[in-house]
Amino acid sequence: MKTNTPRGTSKKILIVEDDEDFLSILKIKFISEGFSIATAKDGEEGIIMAEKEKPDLIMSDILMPIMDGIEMARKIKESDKDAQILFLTNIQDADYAKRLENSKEFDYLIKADLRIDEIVEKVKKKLGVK
Amino acid sequence: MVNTYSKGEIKIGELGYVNKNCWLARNLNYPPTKHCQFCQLKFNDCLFFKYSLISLVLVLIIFSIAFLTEGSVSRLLIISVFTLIIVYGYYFDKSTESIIEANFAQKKAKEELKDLSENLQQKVDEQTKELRDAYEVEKNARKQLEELGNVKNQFLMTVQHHLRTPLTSMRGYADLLLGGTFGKMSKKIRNIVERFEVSTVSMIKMVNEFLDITQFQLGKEVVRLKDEINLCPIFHDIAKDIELEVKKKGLYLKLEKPEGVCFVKGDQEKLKIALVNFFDNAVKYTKEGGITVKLKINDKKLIVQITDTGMGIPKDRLEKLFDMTFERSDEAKKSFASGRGIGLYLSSQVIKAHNGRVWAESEGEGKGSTFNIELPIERREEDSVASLQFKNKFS
Repeated sequence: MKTNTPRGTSKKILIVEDDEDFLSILKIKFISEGFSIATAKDGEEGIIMAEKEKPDLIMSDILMPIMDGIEMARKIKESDKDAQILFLTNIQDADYAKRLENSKEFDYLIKADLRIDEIVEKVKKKLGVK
Repeated sequence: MVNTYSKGEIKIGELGYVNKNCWLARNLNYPPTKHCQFCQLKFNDCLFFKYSLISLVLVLIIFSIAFLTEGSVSRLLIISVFTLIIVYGYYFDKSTESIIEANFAQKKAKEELKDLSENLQQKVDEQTKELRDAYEVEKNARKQLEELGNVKNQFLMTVQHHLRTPLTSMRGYADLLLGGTFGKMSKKIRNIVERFEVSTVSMIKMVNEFLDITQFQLGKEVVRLKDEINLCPIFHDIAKDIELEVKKKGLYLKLEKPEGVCFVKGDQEKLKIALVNFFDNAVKYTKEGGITVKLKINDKKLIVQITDTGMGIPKDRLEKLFDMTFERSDEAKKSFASGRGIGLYLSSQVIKAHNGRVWAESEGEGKGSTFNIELPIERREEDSVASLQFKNKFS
């Protein structure tokens, strides 16, 4: 559970990811792009951090220990209807994708299909940052 | 009443032996027969016929003696009646014997038939049981095989998911390095990192393809028909991607466009991957000449025809080309050694999932080939702006 406040922050992102390498990559990239970053390593930590940090966007993996991303997202939505959640997953499973699409509350991106720059671009677009 | 009467049939029924009596049978207008139904002999040999003749001769002899000896008529009549009683008594005794024999034969035949029928039933039961057992064994084996197949596919899926995690990180680090997040790199190092990234991306692509195939096999919905796709930008992107390779090999790339723009309902990413495969193959297996792409609109269907002047396909391979055999012809291996042989299978599955179809045509080896991709059109735009946009993209 960490928070980084870099230079000239405008928006805050909470990254929930159990893979340390990918978490580190996202953190480095988004900090270099001027975002304020908070991190969590599983769903439970994610809920605590979301409440504490009130991020503009929660970017979360789906398959995680203790509590998975979908359950975490539902719980966060229960207490904060306007929370913006973006799943960044490698589950290329149509059943999961369908469930996410049907819920219409959450967006999702497939990690392996995108370059880090593309992920940043999509996040900026979602947050309305140029 | 006589209900049945057939040739050679011995029936001890309502009329007893009368029924079998050829003489009576003839006189009672039973159906004609050349044999006596009772004794089973020809009429000349028939006992009743014989005894009747014997009786008649004996009676005639008795009466002749009576006339010659002038004996008493009443005495002779009594002698005749006795003679008749003796002769017919003998006949009926013989008849009864035959009836008993016939009855016995019939009973024996019935018993044999019963035994046979019981044996037959037993054999049928045994064989049915054997068949049922064999079916159960086969059913269980098939179930086990199916379960094993599913376990294998689930395992493959898990492996592929887990493979993608480190691959994503490898690509991510390469992106960060190339993006200058960690400072400037020398040209040499940059070149190495670029190569590293290309290899990682190609590995991710491979894992993705295997993952899709596994999901198709598990019957999962790999393709989601959620986007309304304008195919023009996709072709533009593909043409741009293969342009370098086409030029490097000294080939031509022609595109014949239809009027207007058509939209297809589908999965943009998957459809692009499927189409790229056809273009890639055309470039890969063509040494001279080039590739012509025709877009035809037929009724409510769009047909993409990719024709190359490459190595062609032997006729006997045409039908199996899209099967999941992962086989490649020797010629294909010679011209492009590292192919995996899964591209056409995967592409055809994706097109099928779009309610389309794929087929290949070729005059044979060394005579080029044409791949046809048919997709249902969701919507068409005839307006000039869309058409202009299309032309600009490809010219």
